Amino acid sequence: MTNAYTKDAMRDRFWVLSDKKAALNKELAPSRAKRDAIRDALREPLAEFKAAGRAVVAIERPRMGEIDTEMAVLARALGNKVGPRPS
Amino acid sequence: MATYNVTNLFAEDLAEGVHDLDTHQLTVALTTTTPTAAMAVKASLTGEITPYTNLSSRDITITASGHVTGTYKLELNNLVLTASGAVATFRYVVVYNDGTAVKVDPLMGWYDHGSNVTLANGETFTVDFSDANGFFQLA
Repeated sequence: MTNAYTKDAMRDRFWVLSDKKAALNKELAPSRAKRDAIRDALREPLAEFKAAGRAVVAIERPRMGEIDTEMAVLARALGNKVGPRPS
Repeated sequence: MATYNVTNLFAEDLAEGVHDLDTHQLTVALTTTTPTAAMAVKASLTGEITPYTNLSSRDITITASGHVTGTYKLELNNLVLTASGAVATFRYVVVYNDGTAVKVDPLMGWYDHGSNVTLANGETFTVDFSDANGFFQLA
């Protein structure tokens, strides 16, 4: 029985795969360029989106947190029956 | 709080940039039908009690998002839902991300209250997220 995995056979196969990889990279180049261009265009709006989120959090986290906590304590103490909003 | 059930896709969404749990708006949906782990987005829920007539805001406030020596923890404020009139009966509280631009309302997980909840005017239901363990941790 012959051993197909001789060192010479593996070297040959390695370079076949290397050529396939180079060809695939060439084929992918336009798709990657398109993806990277979109990524670049998104950076600024994404940074704006993140900054807007942080602006909400900066106000919401300390103030809403305090309100939520006190409301939960009161609701629990009242057995979840806080009554209708006073008119 | 009842046992937290996580959706199958949550970990992948977390790893693939869907969630920014520092700044995204998390919200709860209320349903009469059991969610399943295979559900991906809010639109896949059944029995959601839309349009939430007579119910206060369902938006969750994030208390803290950060790590301690490498273990990440997301802490959420308790959410008091208040009825200003009769609210449709529900049982399941589903947490989803209403703030991501990558997907529309991806689900994170849900709680089963164990029985139907009916709210009348002046009654509340508190979604009591764990302070000690947070909503979830990631090590």
